[in-house]
Amino acid sequence: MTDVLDVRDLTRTYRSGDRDLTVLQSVTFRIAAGTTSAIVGPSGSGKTTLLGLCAGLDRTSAGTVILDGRPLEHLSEDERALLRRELVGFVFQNFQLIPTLSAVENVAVPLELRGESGARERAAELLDRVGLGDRLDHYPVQLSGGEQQRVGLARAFIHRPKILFADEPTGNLDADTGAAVEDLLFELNRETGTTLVLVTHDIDLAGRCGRMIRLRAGAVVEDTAAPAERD
Amino acid sequence: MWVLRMAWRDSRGFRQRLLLYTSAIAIGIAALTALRGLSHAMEEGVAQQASELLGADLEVESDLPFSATAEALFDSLGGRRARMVETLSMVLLPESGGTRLSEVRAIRGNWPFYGELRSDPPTAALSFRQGREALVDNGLLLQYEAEVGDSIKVGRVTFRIAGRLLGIPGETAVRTDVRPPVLIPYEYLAQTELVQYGSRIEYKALFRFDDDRDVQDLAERIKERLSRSDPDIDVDTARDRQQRLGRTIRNLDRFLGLGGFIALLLGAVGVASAIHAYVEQKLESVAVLRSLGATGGQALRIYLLQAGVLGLIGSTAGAIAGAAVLLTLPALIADFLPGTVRVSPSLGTALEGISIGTSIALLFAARPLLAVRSASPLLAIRASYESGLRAGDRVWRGLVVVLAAGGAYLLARLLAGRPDHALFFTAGTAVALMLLALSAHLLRGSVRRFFPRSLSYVTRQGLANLYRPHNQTLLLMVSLGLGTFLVATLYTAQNSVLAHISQLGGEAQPNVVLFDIQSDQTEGVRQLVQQMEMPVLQLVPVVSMHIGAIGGVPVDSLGDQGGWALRREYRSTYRSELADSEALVGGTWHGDTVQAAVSLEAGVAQRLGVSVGDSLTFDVQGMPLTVVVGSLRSVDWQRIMPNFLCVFSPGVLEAAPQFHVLVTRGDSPEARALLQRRLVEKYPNVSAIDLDLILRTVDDILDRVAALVRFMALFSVATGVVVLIASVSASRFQRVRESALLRTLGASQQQVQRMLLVEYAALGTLAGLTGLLLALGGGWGLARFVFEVTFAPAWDWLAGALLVVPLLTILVGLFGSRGVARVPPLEVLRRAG
Ligand SMILES: Nc1ncnc2c1ncn2[C@@H]1O[C@H](COP(=O)(O)OP(=O)(O)OP(=O)(O)O)[C@@H](O)[C@H]1O
Ligand SMILES: [Mg+2]
Repeated sequence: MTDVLDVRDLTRTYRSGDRDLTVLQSVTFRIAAGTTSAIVGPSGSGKTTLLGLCAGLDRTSAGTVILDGRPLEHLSEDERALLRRELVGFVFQNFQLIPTLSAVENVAVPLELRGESGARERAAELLDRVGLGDRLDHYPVQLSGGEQQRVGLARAFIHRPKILFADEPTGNLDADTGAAVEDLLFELNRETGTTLVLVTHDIDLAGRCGRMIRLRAGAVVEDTAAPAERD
Repeated sequence: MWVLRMAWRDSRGFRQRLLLYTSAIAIGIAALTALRGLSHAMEEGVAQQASELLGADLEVESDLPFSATAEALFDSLGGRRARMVETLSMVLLPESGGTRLSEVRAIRGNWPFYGELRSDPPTAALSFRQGREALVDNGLLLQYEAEVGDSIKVGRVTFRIAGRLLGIPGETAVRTDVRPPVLIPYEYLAQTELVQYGSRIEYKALFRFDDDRDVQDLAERIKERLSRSDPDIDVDTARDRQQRLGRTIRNLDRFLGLGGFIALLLGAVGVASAIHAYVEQKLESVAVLRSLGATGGQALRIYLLQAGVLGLIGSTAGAIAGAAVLLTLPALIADFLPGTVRVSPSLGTALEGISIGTSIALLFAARPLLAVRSASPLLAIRASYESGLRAGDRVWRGLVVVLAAGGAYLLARLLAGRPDHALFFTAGTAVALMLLALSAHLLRGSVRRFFPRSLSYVTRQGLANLYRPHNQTLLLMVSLGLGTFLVATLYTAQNSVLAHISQLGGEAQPNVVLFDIQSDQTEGVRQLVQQMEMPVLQLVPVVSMHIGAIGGVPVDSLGDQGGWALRREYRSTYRSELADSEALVGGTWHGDTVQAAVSLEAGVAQRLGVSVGDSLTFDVQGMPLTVVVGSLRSVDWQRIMPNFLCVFSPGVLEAAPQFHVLVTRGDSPEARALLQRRLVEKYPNVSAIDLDLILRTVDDILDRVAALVRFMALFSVATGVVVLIASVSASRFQRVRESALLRTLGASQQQVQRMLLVEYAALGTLAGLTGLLLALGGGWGLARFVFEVTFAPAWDWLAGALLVVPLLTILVGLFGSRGVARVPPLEVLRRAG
């Protein structure tokens, strides 16, 4: 199996005042295509930072992130954006739908960015698939949190990304709604065969993934993957 | 394509507000296109009416009657001819008893050859020439409520008023206000006895040639041919006149252009700050787009496109409004230009305005929009923001600022037409805006510094709103302040000038000057004044002369040295005492010495390059007179009193052609009017100027200038109001939310309302104060350096302005925030969650 994501010796430090704050310290792991992984750890342990770096939203201080065979550190901001367009899907804790776009338009954005035709039809199909077929033209403010996150899932999957990052996708939802969104996430994942990397506090959710990477104070303290897979 | 679609979708929910911002640009473009249209119209008008400016192709003018040589030359020229003699003289309207210093013109021939005398009734313009009739300036008739058919006494002759004179080709309303023209037939000139020894007369010969001869060349030849026999003459052609008028128009143009320029810049700054606030709300959406794979360039293009469309809509609306404004403009400048200006909105000007507006909007929006390009996608996953600009972006930002400044310069260049003026324009406006911003900043700073902590919660909260993030306090203070500044500066300067003039005629100061008194009339006039129980403060002879040679070198071979001082007419006197208004600054006062000496005013001596002991030769109406410069004097000109550049020792000029000037004082306007009436009856050639006349004339002229400045200020104030409305609505959502929160926590609607009131009152007061403070400075500068009078601000008016500006701000502000305090809190909080 090939690796979609290869993280080596990843370190991220932030300057706060005149001190350097190390948020991630020599993080190393590889993620094989089609697998599901959960990143867990206490608040402030660097999960979001790690996810952002893996998706090329931020620059590393040291180490490498290789996404689908391409080392991100040599790419410019825009080149990384083009890479995301092709490979990456994103689900946000606070949904991050664009308030001025209707549900169907929000879902269509990744396809439109790629210049594909029929974006609206595919978006409508997918919204129907997530149970929002009758809410196509509603704006985010007109949707409940659970509904918004379902739109978010549709948007993340529409271009069949090779890898999908989700940062506490159910963190802002109540238990029942969260469970429903979870189910949908894994269903869509199975259907598309996407590699899934999700960050969560929820041990049950983490348990549904094939692998669990535990962070503490910016370092990997546990990784349930087979030793061969680990490196 | 995607960018286009995204730009459209992304503007949802913001369109109304964005449109509001476009009106800031619209106002500037309206001003600009209207003014551009006007300047085209003026240029065309001048070109079309060129020959009408003079009413003839050629005009020969002299202060002395034409010589026989000149007359012979005129006869040989052919074409159509007319003659005119002009003199300033008192006229009397016997029915009302009113008298007024007027410009009497005796006309022979069918002048004007081009254009027409406009009169009411229209036939009077021709018919008055047939009998003992006069065509009298309408303003003069209105002043004394005289009617057509009444009579008017000019010199010794009483004419029937044939009609009201409404316009003379080539003459401006401002000019006819100062010296109302009275036209009479040439045949009666001699009988009026206005043409006397020593009085100031202009003789004119006017020509129209219907062949295609080179008039410019002819003018040169005439000047050359008559240089001996008639050294005094001036030859003027329609083209000379047109060129001179062209200069006036360019000045007017530049003045008006400045108004459009400032309004447009204010609008552009408004758009820039609006975009800044807008972008900040959009950064999260941008971050999401970027994490979904949109490039920085794509994101930037989405918003540039929005800004461009915004500019396009704004400028199109502005161009349309400008066409409407254009139609009202001719009335505004009519008084300063001869003839009529016909305006018609043109597509070219509109397109020009639209492209200017769109580019300026884009240029000024670009800088805040750069934030979109460098927005980090990280914003999508956490609320922290990367404030650090990348090096590349810093270069871009600098480039954009330079581009915007360059755009402003190019605009100025277009309006001013000359690079140096454009630079002055741009730099001047920048300095003015910076000064305004600086004083606004200082004022705001001191409010913050001395923040009244003891005030009620509501008041403090209202004041604190001035510093809320993304506030537009500074911009509002600058634009509202600028409008206040323009109007107030002008008013202050006007007030100073008028105060100065009325104070000139204060207690015991002379306030009536009688001139053109013939030598044999002096005793009679003196008695008449004394009979009226008015003092004779001064009675001095006046002799007109020119400079013939300096140190024996004739003026003609002196070249341009001395310039105006060398060629001007000197109205001199002779006496043995220094006057009150004079002080000796060099040499010895000639007193009663018998040696022929002249005392020169120090400034003129310097210009001529002569000093004590040098010899000067004057040409006293044909007779050479050589004297020694005996002394130099300084003169206080700020009196209603004849003052002289040259004062001769007694015994030199007694025999020269001369007239006399008498200075007196009448305490009441009635007494002054009565004196003038008696005088006109008995000595019709004697003219009078009194303080009332000067005051009225100056006031009139300043009023007309004021109308122009008010027009410019209007655009600035309008932009300020629009920016105010727009910024109120921009922060509306935030306010609604705050209001809901406050009310959830227990504040009453009334308290919320009062907070808004305090905020706008403070904003308006600060803006007004900024403008007025600067206006005091500007008015002081104008009074001191331009008008050279004591600074006398109209405090009551300024206090009034300090009330009106905040009131306007409160009105607009509260109107924009209406309903903010009434939205049910629950609804708001749900939306926010
Ligand atoms: N821009 C920044 N500058 C300085 N410190 C930062 C910055 N971004 C994150 N941090 C710090 O890095 C650490 C890790 O943050 P991160 O958001 O990755 O944690 P997390 O594991 O996602 O926490 P949570 O579970 O609460 O979301 C925190 O201590 C945070 O304060
Ligand atoms: Mg996190």
